[in-house]
Amino acid sequence: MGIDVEDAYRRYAGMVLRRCTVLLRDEDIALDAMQDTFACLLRHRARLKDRGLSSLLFRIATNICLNMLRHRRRHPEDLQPADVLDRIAHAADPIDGLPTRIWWDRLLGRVPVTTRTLAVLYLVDGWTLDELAVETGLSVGGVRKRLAKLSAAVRELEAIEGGPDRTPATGGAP
Amino acid sequence: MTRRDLLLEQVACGDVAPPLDLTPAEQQRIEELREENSRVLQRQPADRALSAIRARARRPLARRLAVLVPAVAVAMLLVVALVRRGDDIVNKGGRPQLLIYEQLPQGARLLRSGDGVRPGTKIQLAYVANGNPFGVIVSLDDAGTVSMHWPAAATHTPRLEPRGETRLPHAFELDATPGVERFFLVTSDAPLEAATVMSAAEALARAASQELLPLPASLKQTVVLLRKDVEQSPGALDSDGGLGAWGEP
Repeated sequence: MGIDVEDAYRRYAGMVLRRCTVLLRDEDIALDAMQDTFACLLRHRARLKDRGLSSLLFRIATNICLNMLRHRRRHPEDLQPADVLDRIAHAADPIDGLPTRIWWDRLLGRVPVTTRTLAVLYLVDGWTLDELAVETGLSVGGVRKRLAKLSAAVRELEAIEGGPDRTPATGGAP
Repeated sequence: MTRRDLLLEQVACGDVAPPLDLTPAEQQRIEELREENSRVLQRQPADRALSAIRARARRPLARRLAVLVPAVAVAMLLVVALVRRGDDIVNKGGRPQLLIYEQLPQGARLLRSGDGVRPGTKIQLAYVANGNPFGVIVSLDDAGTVSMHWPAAATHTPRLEPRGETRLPHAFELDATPGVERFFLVTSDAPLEAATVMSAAEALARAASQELLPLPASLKQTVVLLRKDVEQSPGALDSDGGLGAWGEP
């Protein structure tokens, strides 16, 4: 039995909209992102578990906002001074698109946690590696390795591999 | 949003029980979140939002984003945006407005979506861009005829006046084709090809579909419908100013 998306909307729309508004800093675009978040849930509802739905929606919303930021930057009129969120959004993710990764996520019935999403949680939201590990089901070392792959594009992550458990958040969403 | 902030959100949603170490300030924050959640549902009711969500779910996100690149604009026509009309006027995302006035001897009267009008009614279109710098206005009747009202030619850049109400430089008379005439205002914050919108309208006409134009979700569509198969305008009956125009008592 899949997820009741209407019930999920009634329950989590506020949380998702707040998340999108913080990251996108534009309420109209955040509304689009919120709808895309629930659309994603609708597409995958048959194979997702109705458990930890708020965490799942939080991650989907973060990922969708990153995609929107990535797209907006293509238009010159949307150019803004780059901050850490923009750098994360435009960082190439070397493993998220791998077929084996996609197959594995499908097998486990989960929406992939992209490395960029991990980077937002770590650098913008201030989560610790331990909290990321608990949230994603990865080991702390696994989270660290994933984040290190973005270090070429996101200089705030340069010290992540083998470095301290936290690096200070710099810039990002208000 | 720290992990603790997310925890408060989860408590507010009823996903998890309040932690034992909840501070008074956090308890207050949870109450605020619950109130804000109610306000969001009032502003974005589930039934209306779910129509748009279902339409979006039919298209992969990456594809919708990709079609925004002008080089693949033609691919837009292959994307089927089946957004069900939940209200007379559909606004997705932004809040641009498409205004349709009926020109009467005593002045213009604003028509509402769904109003009935007689063939030959003189129509003046106007828009409120609300900051969207680009926009195209097209209409489509039940016979499948597509008309472009703005810009003047498909090759022109469809710039909008970003602020205030702007009337198009010309009025026109509705023809006698019976049925519904749908007017679409498609707005964008990025340069937009009028020809792309026209092609989408023609595709919609060929499909005889009552949905929105098959365009990327990031393009805001506002739709106003006029019924042309009535002898008398319901809108006029609702308006004291309009009664005299039809010669009614």
